[in-house]
Amino acid sequence: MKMKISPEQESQESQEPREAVAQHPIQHHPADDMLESFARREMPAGMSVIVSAHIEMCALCRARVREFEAREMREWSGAPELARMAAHIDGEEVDFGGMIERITTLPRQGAEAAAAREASAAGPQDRFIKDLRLPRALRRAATRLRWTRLAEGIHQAVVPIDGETRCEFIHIAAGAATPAHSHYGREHTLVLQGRFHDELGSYGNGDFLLRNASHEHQPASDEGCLSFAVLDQPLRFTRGLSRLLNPINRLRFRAGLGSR
Amino acid sequence: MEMLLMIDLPPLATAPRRAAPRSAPDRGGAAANTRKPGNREMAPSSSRWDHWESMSNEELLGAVSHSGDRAAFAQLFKRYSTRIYQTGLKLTRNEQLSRDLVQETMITVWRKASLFDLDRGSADNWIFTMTRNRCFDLLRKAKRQPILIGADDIWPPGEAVDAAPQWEDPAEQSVLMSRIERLLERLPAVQKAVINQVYVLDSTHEEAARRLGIPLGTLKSRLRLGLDKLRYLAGAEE
Repeated sequence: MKMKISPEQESQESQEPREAVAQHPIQHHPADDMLESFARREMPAGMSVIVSAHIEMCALCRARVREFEAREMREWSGAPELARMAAHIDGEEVDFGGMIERITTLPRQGAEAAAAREASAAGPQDRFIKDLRLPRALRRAATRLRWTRLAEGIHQAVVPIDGETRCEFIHIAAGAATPAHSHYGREHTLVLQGRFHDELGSYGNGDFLLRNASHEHQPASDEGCLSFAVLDQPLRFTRGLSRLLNPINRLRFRAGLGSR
Repeated sequence: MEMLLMIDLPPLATAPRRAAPRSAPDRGGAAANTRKPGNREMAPSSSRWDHWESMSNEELLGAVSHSGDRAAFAQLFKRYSTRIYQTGLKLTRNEQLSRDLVQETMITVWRKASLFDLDRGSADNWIFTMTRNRCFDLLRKAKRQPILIGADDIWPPGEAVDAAPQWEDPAEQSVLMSRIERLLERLPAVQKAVINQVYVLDSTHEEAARRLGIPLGTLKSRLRLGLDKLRYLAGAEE
């Protein structure tokens, strides 16, 4: 998983400015191999959630994922012939016992019930997520957030998604800056609302970026910013007083991973 | 390569978990078939059997959705179980998990057939998505991970073809939307509420008035005032 834009996407953007998808204001995208492993469901759930949220916002990456999915789909659609051949050779089909009978005794879900469930999961009444329609993958995660203050104007809310990544919403108030830090691992960030900047650039709605151990950065926001981040290891604060945050942060990291 | 793998599968697949020895080579396919409960159910009338056989996957899914038709479900099971099982073996390399995958996927097909939307793609596509989503969640359960967010939230079934509409906009639309959202924050709460109902949630005026518990006339005047204010703010910003 390399960072930023893959060469293909970059060339699409520069060569075809007429295309609606290429004109999309989202500037930073997951690398192509990340989109592929998303389509193949090979990444941990936390990574899958952030990529899913990005592709809901980004027509360009969504189209790319569809291509990968279509490839998988062709394989699956070609399978029945092979399955029949295989079954024929063996002389009988796989035995699933009374599975059909057991399943058909289960109640079925009506379309209305499903729609109602969908509606109840939408629209979090959250301190920092008000009147914002989150990408679908994040909606359930945002129903009962517990925000903790990390520094002046900086809040984070950890969401237990899997045991392999640390996932959190991060809110930067207008005019606030996070303490400078670098990462032990890789941090993927998706901007959901507003805009923030660091030493390497400025990022808006839908931008997906990756920071790794070599980047020391200090994200700040003029207008305020809500983002979702997934990282595989805790942050390491690098400067002055903010070093004091380090042990606390590591504790939070463990708590975030451990809680169910 | 792939072919060889597939052809190698049946010996694993047919090994029953039950102790009863049953796969003697002299038993024909027909004998094996009558043992399947789904087939037994449909056995009395061979014409009825043909009827289901000739139906498309979409029609079968429709029959399950509308009337909970067991014979249609059995036919879908017949068409898909082996493929789901083989997908499971490929992804999990575990017979038990693959068997669970067939069960979990077909339970989803039975229970949620009403969510299948033909406009959004084929039955094949839908069942494939379900298979892979159930597999993803099964593997997470096996690792004892929390399933706060399920695979269906991450890879919504039926959305493989078209996109989620609310983000589907070209550049200007998206910039405009975020700008409007920002401006909306500056409106009085009552005006924001009506605009939110009508333009964001896409309610009709009547619905919006009912939800907000205000007369239709009030709604319309608030809407007009709100939009005027919004235009004014947008103009002032430029």
